[in-house]
Amino acid sequence: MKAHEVLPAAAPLAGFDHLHAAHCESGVSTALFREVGLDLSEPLVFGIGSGLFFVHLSFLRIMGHPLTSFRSMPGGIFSKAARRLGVQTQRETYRRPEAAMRRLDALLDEGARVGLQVNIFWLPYIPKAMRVHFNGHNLIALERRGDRYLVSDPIMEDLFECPADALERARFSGGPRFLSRGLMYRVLGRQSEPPLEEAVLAGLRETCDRMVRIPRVVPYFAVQGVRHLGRRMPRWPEWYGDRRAAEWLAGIVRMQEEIGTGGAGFRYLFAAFLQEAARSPGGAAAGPFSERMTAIGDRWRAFALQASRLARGRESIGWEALGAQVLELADAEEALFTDLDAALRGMPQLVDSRAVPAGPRDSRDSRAVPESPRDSGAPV
Amino acid sequence: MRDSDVPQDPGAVYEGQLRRVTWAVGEDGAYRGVPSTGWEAEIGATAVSIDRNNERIHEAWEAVRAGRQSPLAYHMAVALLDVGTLATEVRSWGWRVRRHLDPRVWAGLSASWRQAYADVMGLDVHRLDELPDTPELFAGGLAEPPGSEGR
Repeated sequence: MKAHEVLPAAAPLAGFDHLHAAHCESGVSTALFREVGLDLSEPLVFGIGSGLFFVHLSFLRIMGHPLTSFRSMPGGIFSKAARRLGVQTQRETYRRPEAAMRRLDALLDEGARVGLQVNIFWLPYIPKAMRVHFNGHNLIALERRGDRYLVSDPIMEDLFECPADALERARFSGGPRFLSRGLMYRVLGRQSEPPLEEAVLAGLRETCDRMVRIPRVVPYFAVQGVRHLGRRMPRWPEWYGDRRAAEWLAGIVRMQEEIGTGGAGFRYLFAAFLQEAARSPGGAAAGPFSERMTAIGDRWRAFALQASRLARGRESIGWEALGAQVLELADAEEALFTDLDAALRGMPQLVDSRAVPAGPRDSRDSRAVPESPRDSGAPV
Repeated sequence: MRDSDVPQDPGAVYEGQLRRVTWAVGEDGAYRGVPSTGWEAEIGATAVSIDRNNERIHEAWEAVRAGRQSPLAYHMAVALLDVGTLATEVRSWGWRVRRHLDPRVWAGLSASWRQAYADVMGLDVHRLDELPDTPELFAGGLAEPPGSEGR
């Protein structure tokens, strides 16, 4: 069957610098922004688009696994980053594959670079072991060459020529219904003076908001989601049996490391963003948090190493200790984002917010009186 | 993580043709993207997933051969699909797809249904009833040490 062939790389295309990125969506966004002369780094786009998040929907099975994600909804990074940076974009979805492919051809003939949302499973140039049914993968179509399309996939080092039927198959795949089929998007233009500082702050604020301000009664998202996972994980073997527990644990590690996250489930990418954010005057408060985020990323990596060993039946620290590690990570992330939020608002930082459970409330009350000079800027 | 600590483990996951970017801290303290050939932890986790998928493919293959299930069960397993996802692919309901796993129902299946399944699996319609002599398993499972994989 088609899914078993592997394609060789294509030669580079003059006039287009292929971006080898950690993550598909921030990579595609970065590359498309560069097409209109907005030259930003991948972490910056990822952070401005508020890409960092955590979800563990323990009740929902996607291909037999509970839905676990270390990032926000697919599509959000591009649309938020574009909005905050003042980039004009166009987004189209299609019901009929023929119409979608005709429109893609028309745009490519005009010389447009078109972002596509596809199912990674049906892309013949992706190594077989990495093919999973995930509909939120992104790539850029560059050129039509007969019955093939030249595509720039940011997680790959080179360009590839993807057969038209495979691309159509990938664009119109089933799967979870919250992802629109046949989605294509492109960048039309930008403001002459992109509001970079405001954009960085908006990205930081939304990430903080979502990580620590979702009410605790909802257990599935952000730091509560991490806790939810940490509490349930040690019970998996008795609830679902050893084999399924091991498979799920392996699935978590794959989501965290393999599916284009830049390492540690986007935590390193976000640490890189914090570092860059600190270089702009308004974002100086974010500086000290980059190293803390890196340390949290290192702990996620340590967890992944043990989890992978446990899933393979090798010697490891065991289920209870793994769950405890995840719970500690939840505490560490809550402390970091609470402090970061306070720092952004010019508030004194809590020394250890774990000791003060009501921590977020202090900064929430201060919301109406922004003290940071950047808060006076126009809403982004 | 320091850039010099970015793992460069050889592994079956990327089949030697792919490096992926991991972000890490350089000597000057600044973050940079570092290409990585793989990491033991994710290669191992992927091997577990591949192993389980291969088990499912093998079970489906045996069930089809024994006449307990229709060939759809095998094609579904090879495409790593489950009933729910396959149902969304053919824009129908899970219970209808599940019925088609019954060999008797499968035998009387309409041409349009068969075409729909053939489109999803990327097969010619007449090949839907075929079962290979041995199941087509994915390489890179737990049994093979990393790097020893054939195509």
